[in-house]
Amino acid sequence: MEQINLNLPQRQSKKGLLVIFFKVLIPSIKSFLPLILIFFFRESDEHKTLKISLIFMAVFLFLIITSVINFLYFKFYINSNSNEFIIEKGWLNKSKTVIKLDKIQQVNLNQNFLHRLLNLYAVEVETAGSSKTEGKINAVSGAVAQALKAKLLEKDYSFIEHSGNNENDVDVVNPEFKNNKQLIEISFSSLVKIGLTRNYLQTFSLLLVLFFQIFEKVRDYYRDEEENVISNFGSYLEQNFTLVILPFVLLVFFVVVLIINLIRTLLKYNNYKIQVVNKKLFISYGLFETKNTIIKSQRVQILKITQNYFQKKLNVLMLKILQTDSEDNTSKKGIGIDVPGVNQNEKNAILNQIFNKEIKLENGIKPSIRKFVIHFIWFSIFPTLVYFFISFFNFEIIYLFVTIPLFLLTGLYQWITYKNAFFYFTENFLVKKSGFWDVTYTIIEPHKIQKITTYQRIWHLNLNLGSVVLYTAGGYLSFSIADEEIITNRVNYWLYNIEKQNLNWM
Amino acid sequence: MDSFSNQTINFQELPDYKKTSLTPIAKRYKKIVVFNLILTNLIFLGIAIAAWNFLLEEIEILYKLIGFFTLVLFLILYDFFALMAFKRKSFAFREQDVIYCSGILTITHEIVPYNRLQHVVLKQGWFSRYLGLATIECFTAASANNEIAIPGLELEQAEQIKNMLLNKIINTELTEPPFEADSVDKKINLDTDFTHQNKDIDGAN
Repeated sequence: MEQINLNLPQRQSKKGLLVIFFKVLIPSIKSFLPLILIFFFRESDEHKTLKISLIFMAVFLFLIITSVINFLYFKFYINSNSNEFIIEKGWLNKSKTVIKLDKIQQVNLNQNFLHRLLNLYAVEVETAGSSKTEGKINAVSGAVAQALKAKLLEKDYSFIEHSGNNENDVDVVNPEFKNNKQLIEISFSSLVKIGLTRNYLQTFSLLLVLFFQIFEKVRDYYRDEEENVISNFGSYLEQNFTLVILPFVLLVFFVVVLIINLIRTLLKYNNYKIQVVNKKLFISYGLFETKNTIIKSQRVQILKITQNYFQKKLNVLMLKILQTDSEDNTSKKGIGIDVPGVNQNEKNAILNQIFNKEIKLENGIKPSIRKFVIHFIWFSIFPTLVYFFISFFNFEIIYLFVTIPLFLLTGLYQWITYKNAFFYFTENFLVKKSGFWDVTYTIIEPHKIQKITTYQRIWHLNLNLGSVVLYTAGGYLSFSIADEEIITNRVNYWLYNIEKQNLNWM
Repeated sequence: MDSFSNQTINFQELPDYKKTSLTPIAKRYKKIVVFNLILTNLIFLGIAIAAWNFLLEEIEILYKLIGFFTLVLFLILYDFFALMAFKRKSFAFREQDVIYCSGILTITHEIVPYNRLQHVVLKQGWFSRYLGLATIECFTAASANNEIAIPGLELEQAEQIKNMLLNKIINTELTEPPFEADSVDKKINLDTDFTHQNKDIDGAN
């Protein structure tokens, strides 16, 4: 790699001009297109084409000039004296972003399609604090991007080593540890497995909406054309829709859901690599849009492990890692990173890096049976009764029979959800098990707790039942409803530990 | 429970947040509650009367009356609970954390340890300034809208609390979680595990 001096202010790659141009072009096309279309159809001038092309030219020229100015006045460098990463931009409105190196939480190298063609990278620097102190460089060459990433991390290593100096053991461990790299690559077969088994409901409901829209369109179309063979067929379809077509449609649906899921997963997570170095995970994935992320283990707030029945049989599971979210930016809320299709060993390796302790699930606490009873009444019996009365008065008798499967399905859903629900309050971890088909284990460490809220409905007072919500910087975890004494004891214990140990949560 | 019994910690000896004696907020805060309630009631009734006269001409008088009485009933219930809720609002600043209790149908205890505080805000509306009251808001790194807001504090007391909390924030020094040395052995084992696994995958493909 050629020597790159990041201490001198420098511009982005010259090829990056194209990227910047497209970056301003696409939103302006989006916002001006309706206007242009209106103009195009309204105006019946003979010079119409000329006018429009003139406008186009002007806008184009304007965009080119803005992107060139953007490019010329955008400079970035590292001030190694003050340990700051600095981005300057703007011609008339100048702005200077200064990011302390040890505040940097993540460095992402992203590539979209255009970046790939030009062999460029977009660099995103994310910090833990507010979203304002966040740096983004649109287009730099691969060499610069790598050098920048290395530089930003280098500081970080020294930071970690420095903090480890307090304990002598750590000093001995760290040097050999650093060279001990580990690579987890998610194989194509694992991706296929996870692609076939995940997100059924999500994709299914999306397709259902789409299907009904198409169905409406088709029906309207047939209504317009009067008596002919197709419309006869159409009305036949309409009349016998539920009985003849339904199983067939369901089957087609299922296959389409499978294929769409598979393709989405394969595209999104193609070539998923996790490199584990010194309590950090370097993650890269994606076919069209390559994503690069770094996760520091002490920044992880919540970890979710999701697995359903099929995935268990195939030995694959989904991991989701939630880090600190910046407060005022909702779009970034809970920076979650999905790790699809890892097997048991790989999961353990990742968990080991993040938590450094073994998670033992013991002494599970079940929610009170009242939770099931109340959910059963509200979400199963109540809707069934409503449906029953509506169909009793309004529909034909055949629709009444739907009541039975409706009742059974919702009831089963509530029962299995209740059966799966568990809380594990172990010494080093708080784990919540939940879910119906996809069973999720949500894991947090007690010292990551920011705030504890306990609540009791007044009708639970005499029953000694209570609930608790634990807030972390990456999201919250709620346990409802269980024996009040256990919860109070745990809360006291967690508070005691948080306040006594004074551990850093990030 | 069993995993904890073989440790020295005895739950009975830990300070119990439920047994902490909580201080109720200032009585004068009730004036603010009442004022807000009158305002809300007036707005709702105003909208209802305006709708009665100008929008709902085609609806029968019976339905209008039913709608109106439901609204009034709802408002009375709302007022009742809001006034009751005032009584529950209480707080405690313990040595290591702050507790705020509120809620009528759902009794909520919110607890924030001082070493998790990010910043503290003292707030005063125009009416509370007139009454000499203030609200303290304690922010943590937990996502937005999860701060503790304690209303109805005497201004002087609130200032003191704010200074005390700011002091705590400045003086908090967090230590890194302990790093377990034995995990290196585990790592090496896992490495060998991976080589096995790679072979398996190669064979399968």
